[in-house]
Amino acid sequence: MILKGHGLTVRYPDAKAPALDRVDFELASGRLVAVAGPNGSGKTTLLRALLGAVRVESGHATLRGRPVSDWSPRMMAREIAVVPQWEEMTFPMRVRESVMLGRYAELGPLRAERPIDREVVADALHRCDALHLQDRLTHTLSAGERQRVRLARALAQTPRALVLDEPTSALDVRHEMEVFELIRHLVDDGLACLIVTHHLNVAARYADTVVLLDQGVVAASGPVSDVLREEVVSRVFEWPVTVTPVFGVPHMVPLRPGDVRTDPPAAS
Amino acid sequence: MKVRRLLALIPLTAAVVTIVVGLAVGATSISLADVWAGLVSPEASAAVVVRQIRLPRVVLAFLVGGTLGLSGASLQAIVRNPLADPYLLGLSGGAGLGAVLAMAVKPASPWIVPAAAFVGAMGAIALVYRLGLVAGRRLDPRVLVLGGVAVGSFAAAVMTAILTLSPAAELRNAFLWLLGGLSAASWKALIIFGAYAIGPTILLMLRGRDLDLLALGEEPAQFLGTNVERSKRMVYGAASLLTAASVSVCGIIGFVGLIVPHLTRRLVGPMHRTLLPAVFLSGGALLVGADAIARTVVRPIELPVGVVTALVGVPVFALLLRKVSL
Repeated sequence: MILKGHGLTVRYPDAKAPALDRVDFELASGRLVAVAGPNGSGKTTLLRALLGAVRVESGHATLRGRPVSDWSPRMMAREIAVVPQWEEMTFPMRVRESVMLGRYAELGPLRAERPIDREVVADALHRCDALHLQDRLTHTLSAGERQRVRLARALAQTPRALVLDEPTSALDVRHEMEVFELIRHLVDDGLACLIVTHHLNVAARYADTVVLLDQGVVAASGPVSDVLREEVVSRVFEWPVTVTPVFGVPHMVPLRPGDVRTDPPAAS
Repeated sequence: MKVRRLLALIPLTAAVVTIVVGLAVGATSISLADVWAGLVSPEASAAVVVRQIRLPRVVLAFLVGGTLGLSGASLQAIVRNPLADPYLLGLSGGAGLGAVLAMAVKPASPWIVPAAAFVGAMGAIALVYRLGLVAGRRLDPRVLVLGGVAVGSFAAAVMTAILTLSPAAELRNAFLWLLGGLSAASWKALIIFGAYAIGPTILLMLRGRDLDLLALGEEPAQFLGTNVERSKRMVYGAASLLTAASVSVCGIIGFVGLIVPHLTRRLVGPMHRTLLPAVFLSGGALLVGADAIARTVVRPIELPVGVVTALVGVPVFALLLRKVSL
């Protein structure tokens, strides 16, 4: 088990209810786990708690069996690459330079880049189909290109696990699918991946298991078809949905008032 | 890439040219041949002026300008605001106030003034940082600069009050010092400055990659492997020490730390491992050049160099304000 959380409880200052309430979580190599839930359900907080980036009131998180609080940021960055929802572009830098920052934790005391670092960066860019972008300035990239570059930086860390916070929320269908295809390939090659996402249908197609959070509590977790059931999703998101299997995975359609449910169409 | 390599030579060239000019111009102009003769031979006619007056002054101006640029570039990275610099963040004001308070009690040793200025600068940045935390949690770079200006103005008011109450003869000198002047430059001042500045200068130069990461935001920086709290403490401490050292020997010189990183980024790019040395050279060149102007433009009277940097810096700041989307 690479990343494990047990009974994680987080309470932000001045908040009445805990942002996360006794949440258990497990992530193993070669597995893609999607964390989903309504806005404010604690998805990003869970991610922070697992990474030791927020103080937990109770419970504990371990990385490869050791408490996350025992890991220095540098040692942790060698194991887990995180693509946060958001980062600043205070100073416009080039794609290659930006991806090279992923090598930080591997560099020596003078932080000079070595030939091996350049190779890893080029390889990461290549795997994310972004090698042709390497001399571009990051702020001139499209949203899809930018996410691929951030993913390349994460791969340049040569991590065991990848943690992504809503990596496709700003992307159109093609770019979203490209990112998920890439992630699935990496997972099939042995990487562990935690992905926070709002897009249940895409998660259903790519994830091995889903953790559905509701107001800081795990509403359901397990294999995709066990979690993404009509009554569970409708209850958690407080909106009626109908779930039909498409290509063998649950597909959700939110209902409008007055919609008449029909029997699921025959599998095509 | 070749063009970028050539552009990277501009700060070095500017440094060499301004140092030569700085040695040659002043109350009296000295030809380049005489400057050289004065440097190599103690018997030359220009030897005393070049060695005892101009050389320490030019070297001090260069080092002060370089460290101001270095502080500015580092602060801009950690507060993620291209409008940050020691002056606008109130560090200079705090350092000035610390120095004035120390001078008011007539310290036994000139080494005490920079230490007091350091305490003042740290106090100022701590206060500004608190003001910049919106709702006590998230650092807002815009509020931070406003807080810096407020704290800086407050420190200036207290300094003015203290100076106004001091004897008239000292008053004029103190005001000239406050406006930023290098006329008190000497080898002794240079040694005091160097002793305080060398450590933080090396420290910041070695932290270039950390600054690259911190410019992305604190959480991304932590996830990429930086110890964010330690890096922040180190950068704020180093920038405060550098500001304190420069304020102690030559008063408050604004805008060098603001405009130099901007101009230099255009030449060598934003990555701090190359940016910081280039900023040091450019900042040095800028202040040596500004001091040469200050000494000659209304000869034989000298303008405080802080007046020259403000006259150049404020319009540049205004241009930046229009371009930077906050």
